[in-house]
This record gives sequence, structure tokens and C-alpha cells, in this order.
Amino acid sequence: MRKFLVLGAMLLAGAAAASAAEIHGTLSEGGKPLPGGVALKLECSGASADGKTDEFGSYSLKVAAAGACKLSVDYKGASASLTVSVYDKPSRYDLAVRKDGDKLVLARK
Amino acid sequence: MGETPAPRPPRDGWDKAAIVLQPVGGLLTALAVAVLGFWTSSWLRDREAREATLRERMQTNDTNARLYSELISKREESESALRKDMFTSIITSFLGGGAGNLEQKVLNLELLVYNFHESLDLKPLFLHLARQVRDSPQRAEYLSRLNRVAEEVIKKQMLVIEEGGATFDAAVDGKALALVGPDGQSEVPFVARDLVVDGVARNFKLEVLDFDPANQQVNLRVTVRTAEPTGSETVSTEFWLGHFDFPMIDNTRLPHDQRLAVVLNNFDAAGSRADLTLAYFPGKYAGLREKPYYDEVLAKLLAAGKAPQADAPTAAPGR
Repeated sequence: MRKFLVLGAMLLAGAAAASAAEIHGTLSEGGKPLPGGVALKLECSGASADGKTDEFGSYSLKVAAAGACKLSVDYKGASASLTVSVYDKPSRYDLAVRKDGDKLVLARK
Repeated sequence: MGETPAPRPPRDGWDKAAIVLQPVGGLLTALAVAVLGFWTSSWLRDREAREATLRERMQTNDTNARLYSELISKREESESALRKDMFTSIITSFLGGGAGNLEQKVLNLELLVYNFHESLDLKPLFLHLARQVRDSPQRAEYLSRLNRVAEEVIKKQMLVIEEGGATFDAAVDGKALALVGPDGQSEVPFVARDLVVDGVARNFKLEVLDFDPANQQVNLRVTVRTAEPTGSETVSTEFWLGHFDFPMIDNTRLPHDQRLAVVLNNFDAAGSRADLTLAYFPGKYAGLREKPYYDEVLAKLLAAGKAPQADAPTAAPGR
């Protein structure tokens, strides 16, 4: 019985991973792409994913949940977040960061 | 008494030189004429040879160009004939020529879309087939195939459009019939953005009028404002947007041979959400179905003619 439960749980996890929703796009500041290594985090209900920008300022985050999620970016010692809609199919979010005083603001381009 | 002839005056050096130089001068003149003649004839020969080489090269180029254009036009002709045959045989299956099962019809539509998506508006055929598969036991599979092919073609077309155009994305809240604000949370009645293409700046205002979760469509109004020398010009258009609207074909024509299209990237019927992209692009990226207006072609030609003239130095006024 226990084996079946474990197997079932593994199958469910596999199915969730297979149907992972994705958001991808670019991060820029003043029209220029951000450097590589900028940390991003996508938090959905009960699931989260971390990632970093590549050398062209592109990112891709996959999460096993859909709906309204929170996307956070850590850049130049500050953090900013934005609510994004994650669908079953991949969505593109090209984002722009700007400094508003000491505050970092993140918005869709 | 006979007179004795007067004695000749003695010849000086100049007289002697004249006697010697007279025949030498003739000789030198003859030599100069001969050398000049030789040079002239050799220069003419060289020029003739150069001209012959140039003529030969031009003839070769002309022949090559003619051959190339003949080959291209023959290839175009054969491709057109092939496409025509293919199109006729596929479209007949939809228009009552052959009964065909749903699998065959979906396959035929896939063939049509992949081969003719830049020339034909296939939205009516997509909707017709989507209605037909509704009662099929394989409904989910067929609908998924239709959506997938439409999605792929829209992505391909957007890739081309984004090269020469400008775009912005927007999220729709279907429950509130509003758009999502820049913070990602607030609801705003409209989203307005300034976009510039080929030096023409326009302001695009996007509003949501209706949301149809059953058919996965959004009713939108797009208002375009353009600053003209005579004042601001405002035009507005309303349309239903679904998964089968292809931007190269299904777009709104704007002055200066430009286009406006909106595409549906994602639709969540349960969550009442949708994701859109508005694209503003030059008419040359539109599909082959639409021909440019003659006055727009003339205006472009005149503008192209004026540009080099503006660079050229102005002629001095005549006296």
C-alpha cells in the first residue's frame, strides 16, 4: 500500500512538473538589458521558482502552478516585485526596472 | 662693256646653319608626324580594346541578368502552379468536394495554414472546424491541434512584425472588463502607449468592451491618435479578438501604409484573464493579401526621389 502511495505521489509530482507554467522575457533599465546574474523569484500559491538573468538580460522561470503570482527582482541592493499572470502556456513578460529615489520599481514594458 | 657681277657677300654662321637645318627640319617634321601618328593609332587601338572588353563584360552581365530573371520567373511560375494545385485540392475538401473525416479536415487545415498563412485569412475556416469538432469524442485533441497551429503561426508572424514594428503587452481582467495596471494588480479602464514607427508617432489606447470565456474571445476598442501638421487625427476600431486572428492578415490599415494588429497570447477562461500584444508596424510586413494604395505607393516614390535630391548640391543660378 505504502509503495503505491509513494508511486502515486511521484506520478503526481511528475505530472505537475510536466505541466509547468512558464514566464520568460527580458529585464532592462533605461532601454538597456540588465547584466547577467540578476536574481529573480516567482512565487505562486504553493510553488515558487528562482532564476537569474543571462548575459543578455533574458530570464525564464518555470513553476508548477498557474494564476496570479508574484515576481521579485533583486538588483543593486534593492528589491522590487510585480504581480504577473501565469498561464498553462508560456507567457512573455518584458520588464523594465527603474530607480525611484531609493526604491526600485518593476513594471511591464 | 660687260658688267662684272657684284661679289656675293660672305656667308655668315646663320646662313650656313640655315643651309644645314632646312633639310634636317623637314626630316624632324616627318619624324614628329610619324611618332604622333604611331602614338595616336596605338592610343585608339587601346581605347577600342578597352571599349570592346567593357562591351563584352556588359553583354555578359546583361545575359546573366536575363538568365537569372528568367530562372527566377520560371521558378515563381512553377511554385505558383504547385501552390495553386495544392490550394485547390485542399480547399475542395472543405467546400463540399470531398466529405472527409475530421482527422483529414484538421490535417488539411494544418497544411493550408503552414503554406498559405501570409496570403489567406483562415480564421473563418478555423472557426468552422472548431464548431465541427465540438461534438467529436476527440474534441480536446482536435482543438488542441487547431490552437497549436494557430499559436505557432502567430508567433512566427509576430517575430517578423517585431523586427520592423513596435509593440506593447497588456493583461486583461475579464471579470472587471478592465486592463491590469503597470503595478500588475490595479485595474485600469484603459492602457495608452506612444509608439513610433518610421518616424510616425502615434498614441494607442486599448480598452476592453467584453469578455467571452466560452469562445475564448475578447472584445476590444483601440483608439489611435496621430499628431498631423494640421492637428491631431483620431481613429477608433472595435473588434473581437481570438486565438485565430493572425496579425499579418487580420490587421487595421492606418495612413502612411502602416498597420495595427492585436494578438491574443494567452487566455484563462476559469480565471477570467487574458494576455495581449498590440503591434504597430509598416505595411510591408503585412500579408500578401493586401495591396498598397496607389497614392501611398506614389507618395513613397516621391519621398524616395526627394531624398537624394536634397543631398545633391544646388546648381548655380544662370546668368
